[in-house]
Amino acid sequence: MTITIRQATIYDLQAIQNANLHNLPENYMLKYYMYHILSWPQASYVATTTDLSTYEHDEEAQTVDKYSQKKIDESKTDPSYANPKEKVVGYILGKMEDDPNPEDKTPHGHVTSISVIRTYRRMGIAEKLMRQSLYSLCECYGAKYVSLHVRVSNRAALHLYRDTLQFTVLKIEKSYYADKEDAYSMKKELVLEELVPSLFQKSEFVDDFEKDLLSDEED
Amino acid sequence: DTNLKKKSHPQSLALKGLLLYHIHAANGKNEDPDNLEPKSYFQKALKEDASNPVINHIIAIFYRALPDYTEAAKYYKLALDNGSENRNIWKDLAVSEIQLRKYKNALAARLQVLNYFQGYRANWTGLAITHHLNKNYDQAEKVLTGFEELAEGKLSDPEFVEHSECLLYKNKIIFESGDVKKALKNLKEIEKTVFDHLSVNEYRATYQTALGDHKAASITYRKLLQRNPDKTDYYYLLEASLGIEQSNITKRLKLYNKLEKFYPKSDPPKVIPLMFLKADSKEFEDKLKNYLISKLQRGVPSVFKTLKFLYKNPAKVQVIEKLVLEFLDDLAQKSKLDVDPTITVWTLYLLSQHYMFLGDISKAEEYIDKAMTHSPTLVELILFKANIAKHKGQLVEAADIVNSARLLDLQDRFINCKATKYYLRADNLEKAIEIASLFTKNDDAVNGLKDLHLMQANWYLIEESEAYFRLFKKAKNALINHLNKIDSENIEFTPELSREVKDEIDEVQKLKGLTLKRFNSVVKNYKEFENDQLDFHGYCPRKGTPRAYISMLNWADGLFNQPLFMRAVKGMSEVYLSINDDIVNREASIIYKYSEIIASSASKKSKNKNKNKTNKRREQEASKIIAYDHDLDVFGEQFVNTDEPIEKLNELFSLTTDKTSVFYLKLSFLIYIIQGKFILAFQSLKNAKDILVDPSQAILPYYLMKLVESLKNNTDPKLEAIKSMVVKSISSVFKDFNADESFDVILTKFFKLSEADGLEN
Repeated sequence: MTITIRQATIYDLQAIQNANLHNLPENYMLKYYMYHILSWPQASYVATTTDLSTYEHDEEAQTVDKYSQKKIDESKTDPSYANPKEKVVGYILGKMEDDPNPEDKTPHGHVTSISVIRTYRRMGIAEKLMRQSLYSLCECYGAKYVSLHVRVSNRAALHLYRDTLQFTVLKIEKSYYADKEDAYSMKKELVLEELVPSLFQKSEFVDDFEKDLLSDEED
Repeated sequence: DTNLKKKSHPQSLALKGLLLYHIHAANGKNEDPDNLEPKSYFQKALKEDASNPVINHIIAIFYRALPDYTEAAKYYKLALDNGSENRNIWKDLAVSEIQLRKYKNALAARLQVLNYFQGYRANWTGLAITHHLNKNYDQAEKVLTGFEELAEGKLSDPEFVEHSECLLYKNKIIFESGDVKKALKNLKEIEKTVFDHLSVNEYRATYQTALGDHKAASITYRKLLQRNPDKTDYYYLLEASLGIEQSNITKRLKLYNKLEKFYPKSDPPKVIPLMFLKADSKEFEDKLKNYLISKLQRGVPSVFKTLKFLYKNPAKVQVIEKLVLEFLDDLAQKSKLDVDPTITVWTLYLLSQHYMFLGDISKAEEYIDKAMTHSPTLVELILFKANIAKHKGQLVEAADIVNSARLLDLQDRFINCKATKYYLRADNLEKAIEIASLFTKNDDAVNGLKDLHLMQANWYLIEESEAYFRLFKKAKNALINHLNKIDSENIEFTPELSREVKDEIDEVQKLKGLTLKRFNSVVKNYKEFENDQLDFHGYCPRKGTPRAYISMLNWADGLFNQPLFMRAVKGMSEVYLSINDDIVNREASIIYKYSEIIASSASKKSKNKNKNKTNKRREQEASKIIAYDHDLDVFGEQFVNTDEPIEKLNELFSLTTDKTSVFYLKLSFLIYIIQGKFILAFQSLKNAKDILVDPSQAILPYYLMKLVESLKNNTDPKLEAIKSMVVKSISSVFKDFNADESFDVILTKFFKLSEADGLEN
């Protein structure tokens, strides 16, 4: 199994809703998720587990024992699964500002919600989800910047946005959340060429799309 | 109102019906299916003036809100046929027809809409979508091109996103029409105008592959990988386009080594080789070691989960075990100053999971305990400790363990949900909702149950339903045992005992009602999802997102086949079948016997007194279990007090469109047996035979026995011919089956199995 990051589709929404209900106190009805995916189909992404046996058969493998078979059967009815082979372990729900009278008329994006299931943390999933969504918001909708809110107590998220993704803190919004906690309002300017997600792999080798991938010569 | 006083003004009557409906809706009264008040006004109005388009329109609006789209479409249509000049009705008609998936009817309506309102792109897009849904690919393309020509040079900046989407939509339609070459050519033409280059490249790769240009496709997949090196699909598609056989390990290894260099922070190029490399190869061990150690050093809690796919291969499992034990040894050798203690903890944690998966519970416990000695407050460790307890069947202990982890991190909702779920599994509903309510919006409610319903928290609802179901079965068995004891030992049925039994009976009824009520809340959510489509039929053509819209329609078509929905139906069906059994066997039922005794012996006065007492208790209880505002049936009595459980079940069942699943066939078989429809019952088994390839399913012979038994027990002389026909069919289709043999013999013969697992329950 490996983790896949991919654009979210309507088939993922129930599992996204389920992940949101498990991770965060701000919840929404499915229709609100539908509104996102049907208004800005390119802005939202999911992280899912991927079962490699859908792609190839391991010849040395043996028939699954009863215990694991039971596990597989159970997983099919667990709402965290987008389909029997894919469990949604993280998501980002993005949108463009669509207030009819926005404070700022420059086209810009907003992150409605992002979370990764606790047992899948420390794998860089949230960062990867953000990078994909930022790239799409800029490329498909011409977003000049993207804004988001984060709880002042959420230090891990603050670290990700400020230090890793280079958001800047605009201000503190008092009692932003339903439970009266304050929020940092944050923002990042978007420049398409700088956002290509693979740039952040920081590899010295870059695919030029020309060299034969199977040749022996070293780069 | 003055109009109403003029005795009969039919339009006002209809309007009054609609108003009443909305007033009732605000008070939750419409939940009551017998509430026919609005409809009576419509009937009066129609009686006065059936061909009045305004009345027709009002009635259509009512049905649309209800929602009953079949009736809504009928009355919209009537309004138009009766000469309504309100052109917007065509739009509403189109929406209702699409919701009903009557695409032909929708097409006629959308043609009219475009006819009347040509100035809006939405109406062109809407018509194209409707052509597309009717599989008129050429027409759909023509309509889209028609607007493009009209709009050429006239689009303003904000309109370009919509334009881009519509161009891609047209491209997709060309591809679906089967003309791949044209689709590829079109893609090149629109590329400059389109923003969504992810779609452009994914489409292009698909077209290139379909046209056999694999070299070009491989370049496109490389571009896609550069955008997103974390999408597993791309790696396999790249391999295929490079023409590499899956068995060619040398080539594959070379490819993935290169890809790993390009994308060192992505997992797929590291993990995929672990799948195809042989367990005894040095490459496998090296790759696995690099992967494992880097994850352990970073303290990734899910490292075991990401390797679980290797556990189907026993030789690979041995390599994992060897490597991790070695790694742990190395850590122990080093001086304490050199080792980050958390690495040791995660390594012990991984070993515990490893042994647990292999079924070695004592070793699993040994390692998790060691890990917890190092780090007693790490939530992940405690969670796994609970998992082990759960597998040992210690559900109550497991829940308490998770709860101790929850207390360490009260800010984290994930661990809160875990604790909730463990308490639900341990049938401790009170504790479960108490904990869950710490994160819900409770407003004026005593707990978060209403919020969990409002937020469509299906995971909670289904777990609570199943907990209620277990409690119901437990209480019912206890009651039957109690009554049997009273009966067989001739225990004197004193008023005290009578009250005690009455309470037990009430408890069983209550749990049965709540089981159905909760399962139904999941069903209700799915119906809500289906209904949620409605606004988007108009919205998406306006917003210009036809591709996402088409996938919404497909998603909605499969809603009632989803596993979670089926899980709720399965639960409800078991309760409905048991209600049916109770009705059929009422005379022989000991519960029925004592219910009668209690009812006849209690004096009117004591009855009233008891009723008052019960009512008070129930009121208190209701505040803790109420699911919705204005809920008229908190305890689910409407579900329990049905004389027609099989009809209810059929209603539920008719929502499912996939009639080929094993679950569907099993349940339909049971219903047909009850209804005495033996041919259909046989048909279900025959169909099931074709799907049941898994021999561990002993369900077939078990059901065949059941069928034969029902045939024997049925004494209806009118069914003689049918019965003998079914018997004949059984012996011709199921050749090995002989009803006179014992069940065990049949099983062995059918499946060469010694144990009858896979049976019901």
